[in-house]
Amino acid sequence: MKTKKINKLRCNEVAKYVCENLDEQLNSRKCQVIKKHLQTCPKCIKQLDSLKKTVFLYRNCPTPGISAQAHRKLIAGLSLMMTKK
Amino acid sequence: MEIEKIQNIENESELVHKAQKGDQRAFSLLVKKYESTVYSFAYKVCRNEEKAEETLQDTFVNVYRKLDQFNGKAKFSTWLYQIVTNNCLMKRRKSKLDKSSVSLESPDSTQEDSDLQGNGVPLHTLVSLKQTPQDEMVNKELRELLDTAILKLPMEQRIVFILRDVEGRSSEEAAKILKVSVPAIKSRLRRARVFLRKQLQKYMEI
Repeated sequence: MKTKKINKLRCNEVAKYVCENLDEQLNSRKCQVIKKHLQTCPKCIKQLDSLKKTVFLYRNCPTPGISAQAHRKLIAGLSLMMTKK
Repeated sequence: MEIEKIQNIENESELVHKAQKGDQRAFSLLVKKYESTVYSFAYKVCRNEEKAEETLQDTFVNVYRKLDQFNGKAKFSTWLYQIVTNNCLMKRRKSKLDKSSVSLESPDSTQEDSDLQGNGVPLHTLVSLKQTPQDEMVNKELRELLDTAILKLPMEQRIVFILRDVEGRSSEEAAKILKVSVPAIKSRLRRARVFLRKQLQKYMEI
């Protein structure tokens, strides 16, 4: 009964599961069924694709490095605090 | 490689121990080691250099003041992230900059289901490696879109998204940093991912 229920996963359940577990190495029964669903459902494939792209864009978005001025300000502030202690 | 890693760990606990005993040089070395990490994380959260610098300052002042409270049970970096995230949350509360944040309520399943209509396009249409003026404009536009979207996220979800998806921390470590359960991390992460994907959907369809 339970297996039957798992095999009949709906797309919204797949979406929820994928959004929670993207990038995690899971081998549970449910995960296997979801992987199988993802191989055959074009809607879910597109959703997974856009989710991966979203994460990719944020992960690869360049971050500025700490400026020399910010570094000096930090060191000066901390030195002052340590001297006072 | 492994030996170097172990030595680094030993050096770090030794540094922390020395700093706790008042060794200022040891504390300065810890600052040097982690200032970029802290700044980078703060920038990713607030998307603003000035605010990231303020967070950097506040974080190391707190680290210095609270260093004797660090008991070594968790990794020093985990403890440091706790302080940075607290500072980010405090800053948000103080300035109330997140007035435009969306509700913390989870989107219902119907919304997620309707999201399945999304259309994927090859990533090279979004991020070009060639830097022609047109590409620069597209990249600037994309960057602004990424900034705008993430700033709309409630801070609690934003921090989880950055820790997990951008910094690559595990759910367990994120849970320790934020002092919440792993299921709570997963739930916040799911909401953040769904929200951001929806925000970027139109751009991906171009």
